[in-house]
Amino acid sequence: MSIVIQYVIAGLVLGGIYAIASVSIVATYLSTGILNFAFASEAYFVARTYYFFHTQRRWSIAEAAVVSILIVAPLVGAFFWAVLFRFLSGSSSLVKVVATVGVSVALPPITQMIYGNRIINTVPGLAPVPVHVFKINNVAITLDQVIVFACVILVMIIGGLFLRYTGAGLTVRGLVDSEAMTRLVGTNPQKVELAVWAIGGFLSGLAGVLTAPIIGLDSSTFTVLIAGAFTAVVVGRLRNLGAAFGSALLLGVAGSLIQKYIPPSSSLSQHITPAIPFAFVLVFLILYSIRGTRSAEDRRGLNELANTFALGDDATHPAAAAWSRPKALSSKYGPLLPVLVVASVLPLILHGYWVALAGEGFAYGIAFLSYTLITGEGGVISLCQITYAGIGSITTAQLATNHGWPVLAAVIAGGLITIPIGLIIGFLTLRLGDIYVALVTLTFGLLMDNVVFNQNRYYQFGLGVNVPRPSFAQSDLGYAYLSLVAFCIVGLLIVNLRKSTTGLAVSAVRWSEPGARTIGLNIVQMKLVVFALGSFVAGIAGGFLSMYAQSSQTEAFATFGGLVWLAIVVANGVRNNVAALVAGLSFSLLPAVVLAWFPHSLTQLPTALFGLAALGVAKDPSGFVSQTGRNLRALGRRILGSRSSVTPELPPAEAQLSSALSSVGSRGGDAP
Amino acid sequence: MSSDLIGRRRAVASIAVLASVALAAVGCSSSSKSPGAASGSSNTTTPSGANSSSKNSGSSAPGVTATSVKVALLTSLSGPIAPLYANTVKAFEAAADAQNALGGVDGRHIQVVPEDDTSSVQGALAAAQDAVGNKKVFALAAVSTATEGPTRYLWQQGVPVVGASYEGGFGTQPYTNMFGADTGSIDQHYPAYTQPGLFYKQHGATNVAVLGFSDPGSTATSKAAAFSMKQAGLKVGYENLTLTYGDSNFSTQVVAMKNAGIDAIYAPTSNTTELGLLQQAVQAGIKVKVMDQVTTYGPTLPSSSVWPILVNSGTYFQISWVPAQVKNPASEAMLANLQKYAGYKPTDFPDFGAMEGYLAATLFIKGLQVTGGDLTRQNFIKSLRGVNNYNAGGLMASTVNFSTIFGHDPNPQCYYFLQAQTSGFVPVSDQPICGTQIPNSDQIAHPASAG
Repeated sequence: MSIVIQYVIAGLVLGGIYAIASVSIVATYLSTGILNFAFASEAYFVARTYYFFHTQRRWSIAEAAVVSILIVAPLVGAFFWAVLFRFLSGSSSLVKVVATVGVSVALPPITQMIYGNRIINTVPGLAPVPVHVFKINNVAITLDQVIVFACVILVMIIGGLFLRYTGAGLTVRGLVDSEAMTRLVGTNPQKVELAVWAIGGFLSGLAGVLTAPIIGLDSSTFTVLIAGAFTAVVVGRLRNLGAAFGSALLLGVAGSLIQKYIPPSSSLSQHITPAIPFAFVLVFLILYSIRGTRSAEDRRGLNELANTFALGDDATHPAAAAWSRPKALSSKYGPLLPVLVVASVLPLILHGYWVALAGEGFAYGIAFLSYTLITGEGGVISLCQITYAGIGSITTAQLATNHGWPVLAAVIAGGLITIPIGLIIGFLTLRLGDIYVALVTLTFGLLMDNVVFNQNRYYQFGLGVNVPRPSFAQSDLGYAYLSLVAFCIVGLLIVNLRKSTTGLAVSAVRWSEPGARTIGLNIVQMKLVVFALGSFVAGIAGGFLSMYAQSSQTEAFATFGGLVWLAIVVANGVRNNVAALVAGLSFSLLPAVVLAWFPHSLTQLPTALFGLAALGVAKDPSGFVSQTGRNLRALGRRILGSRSSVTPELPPAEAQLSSALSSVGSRGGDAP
Repeated sequence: MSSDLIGRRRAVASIAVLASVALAAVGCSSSSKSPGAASGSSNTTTPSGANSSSKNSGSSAPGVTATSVKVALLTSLSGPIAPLYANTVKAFEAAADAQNALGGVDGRHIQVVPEDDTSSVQGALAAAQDAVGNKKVFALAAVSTATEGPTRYLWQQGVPVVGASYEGGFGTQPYTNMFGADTGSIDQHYPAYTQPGLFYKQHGATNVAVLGFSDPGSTATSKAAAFSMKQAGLKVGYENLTLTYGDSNFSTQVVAMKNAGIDAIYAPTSNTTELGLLQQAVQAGIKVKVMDQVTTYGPTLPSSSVWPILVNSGTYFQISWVPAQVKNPASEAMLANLQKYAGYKPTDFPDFGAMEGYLAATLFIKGLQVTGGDLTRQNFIKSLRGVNNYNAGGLMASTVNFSTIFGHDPNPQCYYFLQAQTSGFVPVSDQPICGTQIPNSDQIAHPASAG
């Protein structure tokens, strides 16, 4: 029995690390209404700052801690509020998630550019070195770990009491629920928000400095840690500090006890250990599904979908609405045709390896069309589209190389195999709300990374399994055009889907779930349609990307890479096929341009820019491409002397739908 | 195209890499010379041999002129792995500069083009394409944990590749254009060698904990090590192959190790994992008699806060090249070059990344020398494949036979060992310590890879 207790205590140490992260994330969510996916990046930045002052500048622990945690960390929070989050108060949870993903993508490379590369063997914490060690039931606990637990409990108690029992806490909660009501009672919401984000920055910084001695100082390990912490956040249903704390500890203990009862040298243990967070999420999702209802926050978040990507909806913007008018061909396909013409001649005017990169860009364009479907059309944020692409990739490789299938047939099979996976994940999560979809898809992606993609059957010591190109597309030029044709086919399918009855129903659900439900649409069924289509297209894209590299390298489909995919596609426009193409080409060509002509110190710049560009979603969810289109049209009108204003105009079918939805009493924000 | 986040998975692989560097079979040697005697081979440590072979007859190969040859150095200049390779470019360029100061090779000066893999396979592919397709280099030196990314592309283009042989193409047909500058190649059967077990037994271990990461290469390496321990008559009281990159909290593992009564640890993983394991084991009261670290040797370690723990535990460090602490003509010449061309101080010595860079440059120079004036990619590959007793002029602990083309003849596996002492790293011996392949062990460590 005492040995079991030892394992439990050891598990609590790991659980404490998850707890400080999850409790801080929940506290931030309670205060801001935003689930901060950038928490890990901010924590890493502050922890690296602490290391810089303490170790590199040889400041004392107190000096370095005060500057890092009490000054820099709140400033980071305040900075992101000033440039980003203050624009998100009226936005839906989807826009908020995307914005924080953008920060999470941009901040690590910026940190590295600021502090440089340095081998870090050991990371100091807040405890003086040599770190004092306590023994509890013969298990060693360091002072750093004790400090983590003390801080978790303090955050829980102080945060809970503050939010629940103080006037200031009431104001903060009121602001999260309704900015308008907060104004009515004479409170300046800007000041409250600024204070809240500064405190949020402090919490992320505190978590970073506290955990760095235990998990190391590496941006990727921080992100992995926070992904584990999100499991506890899911269990706590985003706003229950106690449940998040308890489940974080339980997660740590479960991981520890499994190592007691399953030999850690066995392949079974290799599979089960990384699956624990996903198993937790799965169990609780099923429990929540059985219990049925969503929380108020979930419902509110879903209802807000309309003013999220409805803003990015082509039909609601003047220029985009004009694109949709069923007039002349040149008008109907206005932005599409010139871009496609440019894309078509691109491989011809480029030379050498730039042709190959153009082909790769087209393949990425296909992958980004999967976001156009699932996020743009369906209003759902999936953080595992890259995982579907990975599944498509390994399926293509196995069928084409090991079973002799024609490679294009294998690519299609790779897409088909992802459909049931997407359906299952969608079915489990959709009823619970969009933030849960994001969290669960992230956890599922990590599960695949650690349990499937690293199997040597697929991994092949990093080389992956070969993927041939079709005989008619062996050259880079042939491959580029094959990819472009595939992109056009998928794009055409999306265009037709939008026009179809199903597409209109999907649009209706995106605009207003209550309204759509009222006119008899099955919300879950409609969303499952986009889940299935989105995963299928991502699977296809995986096959094409493997044909580019001529190998299925599973590391290229790591879940966190998908965050960069999401950032760049949202930055360009998530409801726009042309934007997917532009995003694909940017993703492929921009880093190559930097490699070719810029100093090496700027190699990470494209990644930082992709992340920063995604922040633009706060001001204009329609994205860069649509915005540029509108600007060009405005310029054209000025040049042509046409001063007449353009009234937003909906295509007839969508206009009728909008009218119908409005008439059934959807919230004001839901209508376009 | 790449990001720190993407680099996380690469980082996982990099650990297997680091382990592999230290542990994987040196392979490919049919030389009958003992490794210790190999320093007298035809190779020279200090880049030399300028104008030593046939006269420069010009070449139409990409990146080659009558007076220059261009080589790209693919390494991690950004992303999570970049700290490991912070000194690689400087060391590579120092070796090239030293050779250029002697007139180059066959009258051609070596031009180095650094390329950043951004710590990801996609980034490595893009960088290799930029080097070959855009900057028209003759060859590629790959000191990267992401070389698998462009392996197939480079093979298709017929580009010679020298560099750090971690995973992937450095041991797999048909990639005979790839030459490992540190260990020759990786035997992907991961056979077990006698050396780890014998070393641990010699230094008083009786019950060993073997830990490794869960990726295929690291798992195979750790299984081979555990087999070696058992063959030496040691007990492997705890075996854990579930670690993942970034693991630095080992509370559970330490509880298990303590209950298993272990007195030695072997964990060829990463610097933070190796150091964290030892630190937490000591904190838990485990008396560690032997821990052989394979990824932590470097100039910054003795000044870190963990050094007293390493000293008190009598920690050993295992490396596959001649350490600066061993007075050897090869290492002294290298240090002189690093001081002259890379700004090293007399007390400095190369870390892991710098050493890999220097070894890659040395092998590239060797390839130029044996190819002679008629420098084409095909000739370079063919000529270097004819070299059968390479040891970087005495810098490497073992000799490599490139002519067997991944034949993986069983041969001695040799390493230098140092111990942590108050004064710093102290060599256990001036000669490398060697072990031999354990017969029929190539199916034990990683049966899935066999065949």
